[in-house]
Amino acid sequence: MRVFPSVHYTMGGLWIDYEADASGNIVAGSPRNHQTNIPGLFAAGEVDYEYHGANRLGANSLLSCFYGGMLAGPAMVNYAKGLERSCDAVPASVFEAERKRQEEAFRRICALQGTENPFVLHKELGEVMTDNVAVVRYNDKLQAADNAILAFMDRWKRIDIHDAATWANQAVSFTRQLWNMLELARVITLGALRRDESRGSHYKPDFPERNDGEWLKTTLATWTPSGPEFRYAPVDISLLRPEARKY
Amino acid sequence: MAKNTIELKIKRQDGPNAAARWEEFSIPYKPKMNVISALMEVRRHPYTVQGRKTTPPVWDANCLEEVCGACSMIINGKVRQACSALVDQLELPIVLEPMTKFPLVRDLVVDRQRMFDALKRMHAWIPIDGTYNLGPGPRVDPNTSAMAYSLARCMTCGCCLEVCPQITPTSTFIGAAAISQVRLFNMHPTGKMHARERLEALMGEGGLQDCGNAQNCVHACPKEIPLTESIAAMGRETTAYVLKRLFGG
Repeated sequence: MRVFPSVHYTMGGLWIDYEADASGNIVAGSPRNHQTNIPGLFAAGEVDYEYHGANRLGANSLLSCFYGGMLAGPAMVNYAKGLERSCDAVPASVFEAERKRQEEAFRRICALQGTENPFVLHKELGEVMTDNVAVVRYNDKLQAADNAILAFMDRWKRIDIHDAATWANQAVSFTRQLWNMLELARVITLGALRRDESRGSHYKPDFPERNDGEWLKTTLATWTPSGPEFRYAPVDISLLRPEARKY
Repeated sequence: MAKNTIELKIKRQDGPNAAARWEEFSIPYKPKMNVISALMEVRRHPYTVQGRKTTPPVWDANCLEEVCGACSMIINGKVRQACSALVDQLELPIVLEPMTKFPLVRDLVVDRQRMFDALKRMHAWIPIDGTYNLGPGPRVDPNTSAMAYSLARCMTCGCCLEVCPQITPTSTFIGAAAISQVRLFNMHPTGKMHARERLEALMGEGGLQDCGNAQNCVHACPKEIPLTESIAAMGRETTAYVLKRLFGG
């Protein structure tokens, strides 16, 4: 088998909340723990952004799935207990409308009859990201990568789906996920472009030092139709002061 | 002379009730390819050797390091994982077929649900409800732990069921994998506490007595699990259990 150190984690994820007490410790059982900004939607494991910081150390995926799961489970139970109405009280039309929306999205992809192949686009996206947005990053290359992703997004619209089956259709689900990968690739690339420092697994030879004065903060990206919008949130260092990392 | 292309012959079937057909593909050769990377190449250009446009072949894969069992299929007549099937070691054309003992989903994807149902029937887990800290478990000697490790390598891939003459679409036989898991959980110091439940289940319908001793399973297992030893060990354990139950132990 050929072995290659591949990128397998985005080192970020869905924003989730938590509740801390006066001493800075997490309040176990709080329904805020691990809840995303969509009320009632919880995230635990590497799908959330919470635990890794600027680096994701080996085996930390286990930390995030076990610890995140331990917090999210009771939080979800308490959230559900605190609700005034259950999903049974939501009119059927709400679910029906969403079902129609999802079916429409499926049909739109089934109807793609251009010249591009989604699996080829995916391979090219991987190559662009590996070449330009891995550990060592230069601003000109990051900008070029974003331009390349925008070009992929344009080509995505000209995909030939090859498969319109409504049963076990991997081409459609892959193509749908590929769009999300393109959106996320922009978040990673543009987030890295803005951060002019070196921290964790983000290394810019033009800015080789960690700059806590300006960049000790979490990057938050919000989806908008015209691309990701960036804001920054402070990092909670009340329990542990950051130190220089020297391996 | 170095190869330039790889020929693949894939058995296609659009769904459980559709007719099967064969399609041939030719893809550029790259050193160190495996069957998964060959299939990935096919879906990047889903046209048959005759130049006919087709659907990208459908297959399952997950870990790509032979520990999950998802990509089990019949490769050149032998059931194995596509991820660890190296193209350089295979005769050409590479013939790919879905496993035959499980309901077909589409192309090379089958539904291995009967294996997971068998694990449920056999109580193949250690019940810990997590409501309180049990503290450290009992210590296990190195021999027991080495044996447990070899049994724990089972990835429910389905190879042992595929080659077993006792497994048919209508039989209820649980197969070697689940029997071996009973052995694993019954030898665990905490799992032992529920040994009786597992032995009762193992003596039930589709259990141990349906084994026909063909011994194909142990040869097909990609993880080299001593499946026939497990079946024999469970034969002894169930016999001892029945005698104990008869004469009141």
